[in-house]
Amino acid sequence: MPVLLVTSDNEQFRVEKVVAQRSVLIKNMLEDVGESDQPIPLPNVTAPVLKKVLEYCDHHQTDPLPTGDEPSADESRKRTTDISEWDQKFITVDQEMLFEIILAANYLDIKPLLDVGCKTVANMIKGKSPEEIRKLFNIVNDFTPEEEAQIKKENEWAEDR
Amino acid sequence: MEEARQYMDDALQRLEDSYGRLRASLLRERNSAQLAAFLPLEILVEILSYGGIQTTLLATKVCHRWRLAALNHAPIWSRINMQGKLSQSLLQVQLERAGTYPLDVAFNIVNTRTTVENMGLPNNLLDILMKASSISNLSTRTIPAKWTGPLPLLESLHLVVDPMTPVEDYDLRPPNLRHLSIDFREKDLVFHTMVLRNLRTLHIRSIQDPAYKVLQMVLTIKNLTELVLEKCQSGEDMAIEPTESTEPTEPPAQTANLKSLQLLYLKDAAPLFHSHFLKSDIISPSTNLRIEPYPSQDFQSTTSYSAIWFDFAQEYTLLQHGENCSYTRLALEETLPYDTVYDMAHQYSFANVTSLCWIGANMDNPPFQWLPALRSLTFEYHPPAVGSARQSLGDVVGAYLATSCPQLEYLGISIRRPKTTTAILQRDDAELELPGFLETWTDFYGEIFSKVELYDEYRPQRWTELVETLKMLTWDFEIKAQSLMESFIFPVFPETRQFVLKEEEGPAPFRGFAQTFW
Repeated sequence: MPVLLVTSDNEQFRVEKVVAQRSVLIKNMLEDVGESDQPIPLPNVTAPVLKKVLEYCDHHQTDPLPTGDEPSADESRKRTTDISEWDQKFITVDQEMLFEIILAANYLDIKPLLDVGCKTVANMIKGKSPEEIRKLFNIVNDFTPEEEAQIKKENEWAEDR
Repeated sequence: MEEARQYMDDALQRLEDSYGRLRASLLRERNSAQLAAFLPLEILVEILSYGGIQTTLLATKVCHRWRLAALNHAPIWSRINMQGKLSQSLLQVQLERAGTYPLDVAFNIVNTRTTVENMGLPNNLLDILMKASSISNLSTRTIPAKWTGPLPLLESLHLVVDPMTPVEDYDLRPPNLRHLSIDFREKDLVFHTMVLRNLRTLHIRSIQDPAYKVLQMVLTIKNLTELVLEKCQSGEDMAIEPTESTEPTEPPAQTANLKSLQLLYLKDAAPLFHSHFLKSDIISPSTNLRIEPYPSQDFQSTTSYSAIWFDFAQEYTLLQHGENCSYTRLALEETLPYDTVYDMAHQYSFANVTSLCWIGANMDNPPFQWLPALRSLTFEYHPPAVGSARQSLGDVVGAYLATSCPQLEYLGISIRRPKTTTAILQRDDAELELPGFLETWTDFYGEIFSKVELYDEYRPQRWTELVETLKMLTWDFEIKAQSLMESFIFPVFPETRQFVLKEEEGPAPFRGFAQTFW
């Protein structure tokens, strides 16, 4: 049975239940509501972003669902930044969309998609200087004089290698 | 005069400070319009945890929110990696920011001609050890003699035995240790039974003891779930187990076994280890087995298998154990994978195998005659190049298959395009051979074949005219637009615990000069 999703900009998406259930948020909503053809409102996601997210869910609809166990501390040590080929192509989008996808994945609770987004950003900043990162993301240095002083002190530590 | 100047300076400083703060708050407003700077902190932390310590250090200098995320996430700072170049001051910063969070410490190990030691050790070493929940690459040389410091937090330890350390001085007893990996380097080292008893994971490398002694030791661990035996040669002179007549020092408990094991991995272990550990009264059919290289003739499997997968590209095979969701993973012989397959058919129980799958290469003479119960066959066919051995689809789907496997009901064929486009291929009559097989089947069993799925990456158009004929020859025939292997899930064999982190960031540690052989 298809599920009807409604975005913040009032667009409707009709998708297969297996695809929609990649989102733990939607899965839980469907379980709470039971069999019903009520549309599901997603007030934090716009249509272009949801379209992209659903593309991901559709491609990964047969993947095993992640288990409930939180990754323990020792699992986090072997985290890799490898991304599969399809995912890599999928996530090659402009920056605005990349962050929108990350936020949507977080809100919709799609852990594997959130991981792909975070890994992509981690790969983007790897090996860059703070100034290069600011330029890359169009952010400005907004430190207070106190923070600046602290950072200066930390830089001195880092230099005595 | 002096006073007035001081007053002015102070006033200027105050002005600058409050201007700076005002300026910063305006700039923060401006950043808040930028998603990258305004991501929820938990997402920023997630990003940083993929980047590691260098990225996290960097993040503290980018902007206010990034700094906030980086500074307040103790787990990132708690990963102390001395494999690269770690300055004392950075270590101090990490320790401070990790706070009370248990540390995860990786030492830098250096092999010299006679010793195995840790280099670049911090001066507060013992303090760090006592705060660690995980330590890897620790040389026994680093532990002070007779040191019995409490290690209540320690859960995971990877230890390398230094040949020069007097073993009798070594008495480490972490009460809560769950995961232990020891590289013995052919030296003796005895761990207290109190410590062994609690283990869940045990990796043993280059132990000198003979197989029966290692087994005795392992049998004292009640709830072991993962055991890796690597480069264990079971010294030839000690290979003979004491017979009944000799004085038994410690009678082995009859009930002891390793049935709680979920994974047993024998890597370059002597055949004696195979014969001691791979027994049905020692391990259970639900234990996943991984054996490399391909086991010797002495290894006789008692398990009945239900499904087999071959990956010729990565040179391994998986055998599913009956109804269990556990597997045996065997390395295939590098040079002669086909001979291995024949060996296996002789040595293992294939009579109940219902499913066979292979990828990566053509299988020359598949072992159908040993697979009377086969129901499903999925494979890749690689049209061979001119000059290589003659092989055709008909070698697989032919009278041999039809007569050997009367219960076959599914055939999944992926015809792959050659990797090098310039290669000239042998004449390939797949479009004649498949219908030929299906006709043979009908002649033989008096009814048409159940189901065929086909994907042709090489010459897909050749099937267009044949679809109708093929549909007449099967109950269910389908041309797929995607390789069957992509939807066909190759089972995932469980990974072993990773004790040693591979160095990802920072300069590679100095590994010394390559050994020269004269």
